Amino acid sequence: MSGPPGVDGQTDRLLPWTRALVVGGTSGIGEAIARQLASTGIRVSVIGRREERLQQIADDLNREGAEPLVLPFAHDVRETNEIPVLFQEIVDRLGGLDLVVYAPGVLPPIGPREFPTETDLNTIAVNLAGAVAWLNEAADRFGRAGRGTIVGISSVAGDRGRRGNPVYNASKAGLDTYLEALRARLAVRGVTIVTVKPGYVRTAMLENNPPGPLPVSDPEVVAAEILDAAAAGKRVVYIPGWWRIIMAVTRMIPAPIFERLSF
Amino acid sequence: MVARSEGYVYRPSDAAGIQDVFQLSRDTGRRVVPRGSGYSYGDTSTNRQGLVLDLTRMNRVLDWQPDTGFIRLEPGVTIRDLWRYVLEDGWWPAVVPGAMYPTVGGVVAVNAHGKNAWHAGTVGEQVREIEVMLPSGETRVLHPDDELFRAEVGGLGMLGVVTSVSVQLRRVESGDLRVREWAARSLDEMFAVVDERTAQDDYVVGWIDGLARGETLGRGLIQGANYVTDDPEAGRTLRAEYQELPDTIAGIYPRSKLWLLMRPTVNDTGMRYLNALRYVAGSRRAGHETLVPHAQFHFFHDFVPEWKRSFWPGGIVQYQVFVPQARALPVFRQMIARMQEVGVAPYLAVFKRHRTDPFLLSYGVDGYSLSLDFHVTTNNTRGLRETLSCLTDTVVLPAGGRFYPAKDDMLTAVQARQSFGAGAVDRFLELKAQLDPENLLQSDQFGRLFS
Repeated sequence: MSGPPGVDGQTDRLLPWTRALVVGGTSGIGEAIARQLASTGIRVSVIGRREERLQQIADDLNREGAEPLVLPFAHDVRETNEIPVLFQEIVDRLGGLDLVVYAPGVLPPIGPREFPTETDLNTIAVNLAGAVAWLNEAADRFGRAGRGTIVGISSVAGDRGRRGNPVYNASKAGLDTYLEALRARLAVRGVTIVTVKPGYVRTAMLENNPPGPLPVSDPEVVAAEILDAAAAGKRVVYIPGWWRIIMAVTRMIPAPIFERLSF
Repeated sequence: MVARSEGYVYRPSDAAGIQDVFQLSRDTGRRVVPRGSGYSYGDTSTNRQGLVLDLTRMNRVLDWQPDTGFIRLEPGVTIRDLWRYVLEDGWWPAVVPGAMYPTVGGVVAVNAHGKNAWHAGTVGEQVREIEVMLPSGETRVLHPDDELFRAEVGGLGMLGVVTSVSVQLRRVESGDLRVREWAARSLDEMFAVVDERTAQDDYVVGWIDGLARGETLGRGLIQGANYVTDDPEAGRTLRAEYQELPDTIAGIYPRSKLWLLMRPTVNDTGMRYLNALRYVAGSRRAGHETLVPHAQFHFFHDFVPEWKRSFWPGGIVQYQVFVPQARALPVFRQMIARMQEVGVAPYLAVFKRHRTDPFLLSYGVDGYSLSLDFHVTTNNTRGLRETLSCLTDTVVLPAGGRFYPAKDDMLTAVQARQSFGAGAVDRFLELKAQLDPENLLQSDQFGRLFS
């Protein structure tokens, strides 16, 4: 017989949740998070666009004859009108909810003189609007229950607007402020809201964003750090931690100089 | 980690509102659990993702007869509301549990008991009439002679919603109780002193130092209280203000923050010292008499508001067993010794004397109860419940031991069948099928104990 939720014979790791929802759990950091949660016995609802990926994750983690740990749902975060009903259905199927992670993100390649509005609006739709649509549901529920954890995967890119991809920066900055505002509303009500700012992570997103000389993290390591930070109730987490210093310095560079820098 | 459950709460103010909730249940397919103040330790009044029928708004006194002590109440009236209402007329509820915030409907649904259980019986035995609303909308008026009455009391709200309770109170001539404390140096002495006191006192309760081992295992203090009949200040003591504790300790520290001060002591070392201190202080005062207001004697838990917070984040697990006289001493000794052995000593251990009761889902025995509180930590979480469940199977149930649903959150269906008795469980389920044919009433506990 397995132990109480959050504890597993294999990992021996104790995470304080029993039912989780990971939006964007079919690739990158989101997938790593979903897998780690399920491997400690937490029931996870995984949302993603690609059905084969969803099925793969479910097959990998659900054991024959046992209660399924992974409940997959196919959904595109840009279809925001689907979200309220889907959220309620997920909560009913899971039997409750205490952790929500929003991980989807797109980073399309933008030329230095290009202003592609359609692409940019899509970036906002996935990186910010989708987050608002999902996390509003979570915030409402957790605020009423007086407990719960929300994790938003943002980026160091939100800390300052740089020339490379203006709307990517804007979408992440918007997400940061939204999560900060949710904390202002819900922290006193016992809800933990974590803003995660990874640097470079070895995922599909890296294709359009070469890291140059800076180190690249593995999604599994990043996911583990995210879950530890969320369990500890942290507010803003840079991963790896030294990015906090780099971004603090970056933010201090005066505008006339910054505008002439190439990165 | 403490298991929690979230549901959708509705708080009607009248019977029509209760019916609306049942209709909502039919329309949405989500089942309903009645709930009072939510003071049960486990999942008695929770219903994961279902509807929670919170009755605390239905809290009127429907009829009060100060000459006879007969009172008729809506289910949401709390024990506190009740004693405050009747005290000045010279009455006190004959049986009260250890906290005053549970509701009348709640204590009837779990058939609570107090520190006078061995001679006054349970809360249910003080009830003279109840009105029950079934999910169909039909209302039944029940009296102690009716089989259905004996099923509703202690029926955990699963056979209908109680919409009024009529109780006979006890006349009191003083707002004080005469309390004396005695010391017991071992478990054997604890039993002996309690037996001696229950022959003479109106209320008896024992506190055991759960960290004392070996020869001193089971040592503790016993409080015996008696009604006062010769109170020259009855006019002053029979008042709510006299009963209530001051908001501050020593005029400075707010009682509502006392749990914060207690937090650092919630570990083995802290508890060992605290318990030793209490035992020594108590044994010094043995036999010495004090006058204590009723509310301060009975409602120990309310002395420290939010006391459970000093045990966060892990929380507590309470394990309370009722064992017949013949086997109680060895069973209690084994329980305490085993838990000390596995390294999780109980931080609070309370000992009381009981008798059997006439209700269908019963936990009463002609014997004693021992209630153990364990602090849940990340270290012990996995093993603690397993060890307790093992004790249940190998020590408690074989000795004819029983469990009280209001404190339970880990009994399995098989264990419940032994505790309540197979015949009782079957009859209860038969009655549920009759009274709630659409199966609208459901609690997490009911699902665990009876499926």
